[in-house]
Amino acid sequence: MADTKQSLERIESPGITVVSDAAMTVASLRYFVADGGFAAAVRRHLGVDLPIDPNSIAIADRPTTLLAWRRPGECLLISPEFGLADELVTTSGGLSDGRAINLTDGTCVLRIGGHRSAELLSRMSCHGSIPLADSARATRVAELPVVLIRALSDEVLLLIDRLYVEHLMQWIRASIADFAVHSDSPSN
Amino acid sequence: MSTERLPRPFGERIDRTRPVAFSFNGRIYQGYHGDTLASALLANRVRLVARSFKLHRPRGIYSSGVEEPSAIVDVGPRGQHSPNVRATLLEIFDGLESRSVNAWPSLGLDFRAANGWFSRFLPAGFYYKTFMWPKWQLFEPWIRRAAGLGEAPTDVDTDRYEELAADAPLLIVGGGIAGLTAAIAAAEAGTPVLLLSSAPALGGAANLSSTELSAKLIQRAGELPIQILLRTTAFGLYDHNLLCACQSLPKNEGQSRGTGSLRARLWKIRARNIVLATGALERPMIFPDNDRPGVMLAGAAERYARHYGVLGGQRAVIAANDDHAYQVAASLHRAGMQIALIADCRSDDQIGADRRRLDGIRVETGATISAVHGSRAVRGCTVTAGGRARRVNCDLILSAGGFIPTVHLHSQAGGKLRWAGASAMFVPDGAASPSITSVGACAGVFSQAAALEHARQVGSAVARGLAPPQPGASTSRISLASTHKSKSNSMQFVDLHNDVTADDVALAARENYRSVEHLKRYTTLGMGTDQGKTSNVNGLVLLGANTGRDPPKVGTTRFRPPYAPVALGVFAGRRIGSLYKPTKRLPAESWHRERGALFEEYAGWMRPAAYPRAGETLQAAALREAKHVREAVGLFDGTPLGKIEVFGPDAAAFLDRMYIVPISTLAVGQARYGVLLSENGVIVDDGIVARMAEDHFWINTTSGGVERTAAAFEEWLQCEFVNMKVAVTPVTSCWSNVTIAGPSAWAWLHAAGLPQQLAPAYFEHMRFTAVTIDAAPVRVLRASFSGELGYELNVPTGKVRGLLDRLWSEADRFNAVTYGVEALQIMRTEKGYIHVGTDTDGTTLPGDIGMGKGLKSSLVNFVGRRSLSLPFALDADRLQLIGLESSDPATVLPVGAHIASNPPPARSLGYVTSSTWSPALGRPIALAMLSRGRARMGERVKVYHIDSAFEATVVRAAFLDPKGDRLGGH
Repeated sequence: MADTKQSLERIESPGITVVSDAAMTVASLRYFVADGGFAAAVRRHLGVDLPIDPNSIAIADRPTTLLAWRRPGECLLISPEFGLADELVTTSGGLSDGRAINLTDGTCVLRIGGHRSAELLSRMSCHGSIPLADSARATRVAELPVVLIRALSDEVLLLIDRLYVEHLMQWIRASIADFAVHSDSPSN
Repeated sequence: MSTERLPRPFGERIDRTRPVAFSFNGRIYQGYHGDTLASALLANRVRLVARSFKLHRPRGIYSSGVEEPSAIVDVGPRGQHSPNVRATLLEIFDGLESRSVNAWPSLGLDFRAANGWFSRFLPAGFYYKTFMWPKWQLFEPWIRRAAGLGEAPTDVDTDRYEELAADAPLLIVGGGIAGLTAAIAAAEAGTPVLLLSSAPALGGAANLSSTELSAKLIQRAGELPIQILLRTTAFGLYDHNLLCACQSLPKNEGQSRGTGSLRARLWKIRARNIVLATGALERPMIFPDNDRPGVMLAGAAERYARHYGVLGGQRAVIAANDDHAYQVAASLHRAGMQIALIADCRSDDQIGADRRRLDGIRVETGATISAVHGSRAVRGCTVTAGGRARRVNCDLILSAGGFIPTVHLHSQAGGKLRWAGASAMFVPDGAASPSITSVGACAGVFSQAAALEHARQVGSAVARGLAPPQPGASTSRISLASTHKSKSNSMQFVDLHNDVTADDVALAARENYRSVEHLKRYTTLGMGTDQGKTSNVNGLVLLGANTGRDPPKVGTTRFRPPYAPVALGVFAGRRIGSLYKPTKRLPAESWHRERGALFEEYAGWMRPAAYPRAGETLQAAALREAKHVREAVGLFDGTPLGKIEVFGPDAAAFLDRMYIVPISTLAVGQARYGVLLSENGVIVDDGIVARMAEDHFWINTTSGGVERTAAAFEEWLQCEFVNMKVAVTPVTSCWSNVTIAGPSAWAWLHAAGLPQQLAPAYFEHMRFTAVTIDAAPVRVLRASFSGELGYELNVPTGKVRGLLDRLWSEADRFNAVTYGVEALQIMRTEKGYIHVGTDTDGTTLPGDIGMGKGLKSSLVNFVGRRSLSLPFALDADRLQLIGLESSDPATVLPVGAHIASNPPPARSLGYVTSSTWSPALGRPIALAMLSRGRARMGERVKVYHIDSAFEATVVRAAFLDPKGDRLGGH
C-alpha cells in the first residue's frame, strides 16, 4: 500500500532483520472435505495435498509456494507467483466442497530473520515457541492475530492483516530498542 | 556517613569496591552495590524507617524480604515515584531517592502519632460504628484522606516495561537448594528447565547454613540446560499452567535510552510441568509491643549478617517457639553479636535443637517476653518465666516463631492444605494437580536431607513423564500454635502492616465474626499490599483460640494473585501511547489528505470527518457536504465497512438463523438489510447481506462491528450448528469501498466507465453484482445510508487509488464533492436510519427500533427469537425509537439529554440518541429512545440536559423522504 510504505521500511538490528515482502500472494483455502473436488483442484494446480495435520505445511511443486495449515478446514496459500490466488479463486468457483478466497490485498507478509528472531517474538508476547522447521502456527504477537510459518529457510514468515502491520512494526521497533537489555528468554 | 560492616566472608552479596550514594528522607547515605535499601539503612544505624498504618507508631525493619510489613517507602523523584516499595527488596543504586510514607511533617515528628494516644478508642471496626450519624458520607472523605500509605505518582512514568511469553517443558519456581536439586535432576535426565528465583542470587536459605552444598548445586546447574531468571517473582498461577512472574531489572542494566529505563518484565510462562520450591516465611512471635524498631524476624537478622555484613544490633534477645532460633543464635554469635538470652516459650521436652552447640548462650524455657522497653528503638525487654519477670538489656529482639510454608501458588492452582499441628503450619495436602508439585519447605519438608531427596525424585520423575512422588512425613519440629500473652496492657500486634492486635481479633470473635474471611474484612487483618504474609496464620490461630476451634476448623483466607505487589506499569507493558491499540488507516489516506480531509477516529479507524474549506469549521463543512450530496453527488470512502464472505452448501440456512430477516429467499444478485441479535434478543449489529451465488454471500457489517459479527458467526458454527458446512472469512482489509451518493450518482459513475446495465432503471436498490473496471474486479451494491441514490463500489484494496483517481477525473462535470463521516451522520439522521451503538444500547430489541413486525410469525427460527417473546420484550413501556422536533427552531437538542415529565431527579422516560441541524429541512432534528414512543406521536415532551430544559414534539423517525423516493434517484 502506498500509504504505509514508510512504516514498512526494513528493520535491521544486530541479530534481527524484519523485511516486508510485498510480492507475496496469499489466499485462504476453505474446505469441508479434505479429499473432495476442491482438494483435487488444489492438487492439480499446486501438485500437493492440502495440509490437514495441525501446524503442518505442504511445499508446492512451484517455486517457493507453500500451503500452511491455519485451523481445521482452512489452510493458507503463500506464493510469490502473481495471479496464483486468483487462479484458485476462479477454479474453485463452481465447487461446493471448498473455496479459495484471495487475501493478498488484506495481508502483509513480513520476513523475520537473524539469530534473535525467536527472542524478538518472545519479547512481543508471542505465546508458543517459534514454529519448528516446516511448520506453521496461528498465534498472537503484540496482541495481534498472526500466522507464523517456518519453511524453506531459517526465516520466519509472519502473516498479518494489513490494517495492523503499521502497529506491529511500531512494536517491533520499540522492542528492538530495548534489545541491549538481555531478556534471558528461553528462546535465546 | 560510614557504614558498619562485618568482615568477609560476611556480606557475600555486596561489592565493597563499589560504594553507592543514596538518600533517605532527604539525607545522603552510603551503601554498597548489592545492598538493599533495608540493609544499607541498617548498616547506617537507621532504625526508625516508617510509621504504622493506623496508629502511626514508630516502625523499623522487620524482615528481609517480600513479607516486610513495615519498612515501606516511596522511591524516585516526587511525581514520578514508585509508591509503597518494600525497602527489603529494593536494591540501591547511585542517586536513589527514597522517603518514608504516612508521616507528617516528618518521620521523627509525626503529628498523627497522636492516634496512638487514643488507641484504646480505636479498636477494629471503630469507624463502622462511630461514624454512622448523621451519615457515613460526611466522614468518608476525611477518613479516606487519613488512610493509605504511599502517594500515587502524578506524572507520567518515564520507565518502560515489557511483556514476554515463554513455553517451558519444566518450570521450577524457587532457586533454593530444593528447586536447584529438582532442576538438576530433570536437566540431567534431558529435560530443559526454566528456573525462577525471586532473589538476586541462587541458594535460598541454604546460603546461610550450607554454603558448600549451595555452591555445589549452583555450579552444577550452570553446566546443564537450565535457564535461570533471577529477581523474578512468580505472583500468579492460573488455569492450564499459565504462570505469571515479574522480573525486576537493576537500574543500571536497563538504562538504554532517554530518561527512563527498562525497569521490569512481565513473564507469561506456559509450562507443561511446574515444580514449586518457594520455601517458607518466618512466623512472628506475638508479645507486647512486638512492633518496636529493633524487633525483627530471626532469620532476617541472620540474612543481613550473612548476605550484607550487617548486624541489626549488638545485643539480642531471641523470642523462640521453634528450633530455628538456636541455629540463628549460633550463627549470629559467630558473627560477633552478643546473644543475651533465648527465651523459648516451649518446654524442655519440646525443644529438638542441640543446645550444646550454643557456646554458653543462655536459654530459658517456658519463657515469654512480657514487655519491650524503648519506643523508637529497643532498649531492653522484660522476660517472664515461671511467674518471675526480669529485665534484660538489649537493642535487638529476634522473633523465631516457626515457619509458614509459602503455599500461595499451590493454593492458586487449586491445591488443598492441611494443618500440621505439631509444627503449627498449613502444608500442601497432596499435589495441586498432576503437573504441579511442591518440594522443600513449601511442601512442609524442613529436613534438608529429606527435602533434597524428594526434590531429586520429583525432578527425575517429571523428566521421565512419571507422576511425581509426594513427600514423606513432614517436619518433626515442634512449634506452639499460640504464643501471645492472654493479658497485657500493651498492644500485641498480629498484623503489623494494618495495626491489627490480638485484642482486635478477640473483639471480632466477641462480635461473632467467626469466619476468617469476615475477620479479615472487619479487622483488616491480612489486607493491603502484604496480604497477611506474616499475620494470617497467627490471626486464624487466635480466632480459633477465641472461638474454641482448632486452626483447621477456622480455615484460611483465599490466596489470590498477585503474591507480591506488581507495579501497574508491568501489566501495561508496551501498551501505552501509540502502542496502546492499533489505529486502522485507510489505504487511500493520502488521497483524502490531498483533498483537505480532516481526520478523526471512528471505531478505531482514522477517517475523514469532513473536508473543510479555508476558514470553515468542521460542523459547517459537514452541513455543506450533506446539502451538496442531496442536491448533486458526493464521494465517500466507506472502506471501514465490515466485509465478510460466507460460503458453503449451508450458508443460506445458516444466515437465516443469524439474521432476523430470511436470507435464503434472496435470489442471486439480491441484497437485504438484516439485524443480528444475541441470544437475549439484543441487537448486536446490522448490515446488508448480498447473495453472490447460491452458496456464497457477501455481508457488509458496521465499521466497528465486523469483529463481533464474525466472532458470533464462528461461535454459533463451532458450538451449536456444528454440522453445517459453512466457511466464514472476514475480508474487510482486502476490499476497499467507495460510495457514490446523490441524484447525479449514476451519471457520474456511467461517465467513469460503469456499464449501462448498472443504471438505476435496471439495477435496482438492494441489488449486487460483480463487474470489471480497468481489469480490476469491482463488486457493486446498490444501497444507501444517506437516503440518496447510492452505489457502493468494492474494489481490491490495491486498486482503490486507481478507482478514486478515475472517478475524480470526472468529478467536476457532475459538481461532485467528497464527504466525510459527519455529513453521512447528518443524512442518516434525516432519514431516521439507526446507527448501532449510537441509537441502540445493550438492551435494544428489534421491536424497539420498529423492526418487530412479522418476527413472531416468521417461519424461520433465528438466534434471539425466543427471547423476543419473553415478558421483558413485550413490556409496553419499553423504549422505542422516535423522532423529536425541537420547539425552538434554532436549538439543536443535546445528545444524551433526558426526556422526563419533570426536571431531574424525576424518572427518565428516554433520551436523545442522535441530534443535528438538518440542512435539507432547515431546522433541528433528533432521534430518541422514548418509553411507549410510538404511541406518543404528536405529544409535546420536556427534554433536560444538565441545567437546561427544552421542549420538543414527538414525530416519526423518518424526517426526510419517508417513502424512499430519493433512493431511486428521483
